[in-house]
Amino acid sequence: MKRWLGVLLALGAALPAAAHPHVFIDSRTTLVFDRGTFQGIHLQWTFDPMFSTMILGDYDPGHTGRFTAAQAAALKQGAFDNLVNYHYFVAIWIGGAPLRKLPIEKFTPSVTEKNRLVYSFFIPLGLPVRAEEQRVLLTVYDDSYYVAFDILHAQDVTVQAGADVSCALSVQKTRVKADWPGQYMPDQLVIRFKESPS
Amino acid sequence: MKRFAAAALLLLLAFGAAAQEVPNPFTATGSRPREGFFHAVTSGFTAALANAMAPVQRSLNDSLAAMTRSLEGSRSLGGLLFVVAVSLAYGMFHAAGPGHGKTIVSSYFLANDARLRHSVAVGYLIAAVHSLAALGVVLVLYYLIRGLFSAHIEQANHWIQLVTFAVIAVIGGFMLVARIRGGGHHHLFGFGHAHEEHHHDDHPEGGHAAAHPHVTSSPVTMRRLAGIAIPAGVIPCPGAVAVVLFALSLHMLAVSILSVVSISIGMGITISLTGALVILAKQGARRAIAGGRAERDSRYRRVVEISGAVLLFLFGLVFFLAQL
Repeated sequence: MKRWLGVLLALGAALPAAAHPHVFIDSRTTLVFDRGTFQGIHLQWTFDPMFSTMILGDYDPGHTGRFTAAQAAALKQGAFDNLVNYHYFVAIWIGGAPLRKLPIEKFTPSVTEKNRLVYSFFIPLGLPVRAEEQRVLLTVYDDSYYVAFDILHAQDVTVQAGADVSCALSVQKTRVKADWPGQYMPDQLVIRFKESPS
Repeated sequence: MKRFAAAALLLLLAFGAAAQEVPNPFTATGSRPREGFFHAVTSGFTAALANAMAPVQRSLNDSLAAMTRSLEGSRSLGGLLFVVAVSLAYGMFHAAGPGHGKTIVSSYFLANDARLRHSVAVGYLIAAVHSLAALGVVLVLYYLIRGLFSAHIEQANHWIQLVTFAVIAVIGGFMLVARIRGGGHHHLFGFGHAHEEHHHDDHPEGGHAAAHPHVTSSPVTMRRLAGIAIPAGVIPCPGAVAVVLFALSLHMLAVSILSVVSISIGMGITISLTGALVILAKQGARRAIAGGRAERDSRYRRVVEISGAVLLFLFGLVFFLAQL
């Protein structure tokens, strides 16, 4: 009887979550180092066929497979800018402190050969690379479950850096103050970087 | 006691999942400002399951898209069956989530003297309403209204929800008034309190009123069920909209209809099951609490029915206000 109750309770808690998500994204991360500075993080999001179809129907009605400058601007306004209310699904910690404002740059929409919609954008950081190691944490996650991102693997992350920077990547569970025990924590990219000993 | 606990739990399940359709973060406007992003990662089990299920849903979504696309050239029976099966499963699965009329139906069943067959009927009705609503909204926005579909669907959703929740609050309010007055008078949705003086409910389904001539309340009728199925099914679910739009963009109207009907039937099945659970829980708790004593029985019924009406009213009101 108790076991039965447990199963039901678990199902009840789980069902609301299971109904979502509605949008699926393959997210690719590129870390850009240049001139002794961790310039920032470039994200590229490839959308599922159905969301792609809806947005392409609106902003590329001629099915040309590309966006004019005007279409790209309209798309940004109509299907990207509202993400500011969601912190762009991006959480970044620099040396343990959360980055409260995300200055998004270079937003560019495009279309793949298979008619998938792609968003690219850059989050500038401008952190000088020093001799001692620094740590940046990156989580891309929608806690409203409307959007599901693919599983994060460190080997999928591209590092653009010269020989003057050494950068080590790993994946861990997000470590923040939990509000209650057993709280779910999404995966998080741990970026450790310092001057390369030459 | 155990039975009571089980019943309470079931009711909790029905209401725990109450929520509105949330807006699409990309295409909605001015929604969900969030302060707590850095430490507001949601509860353990829910989030863990959502994340465990996401890859499954992703592959379903992908294969549904691929299969629909493959039907573009030739309508193979296998392909059509696949679309029907996946849509059906999607609907069942999806309706288990927040909203989708479960709360409305559950509260209504709590507040009224419903039988198991009513939960089956309401499932059919909701399937029909949802098919027509989702298809209607998408077709109108796609063919008749020029402009951005992605923006219009969000607006349409907003207005449909605003009206729907207002209607629900009104229904709940009327029911509540009728229940508190406690009379056997019946109005639009059968709000009156049912007076039954029998000691055991040995008739979980059918033939009830005939066996008990003391029943003064008019039964739950198809018309009243339709009155509840409309608000419960009229809000198009984003999944159905996406699937219909996808088929339409490939110029496959027939496939889109097939798909949305299948999704709606799937939703109807889940909502029926939820309604049935509530009815069974209600009966189980009644037996456990009243234990066949007429006075406790009638008090129990009054409490449950008023609770159902209060829930319906609050549910409608809260989500109506959330839409403003």
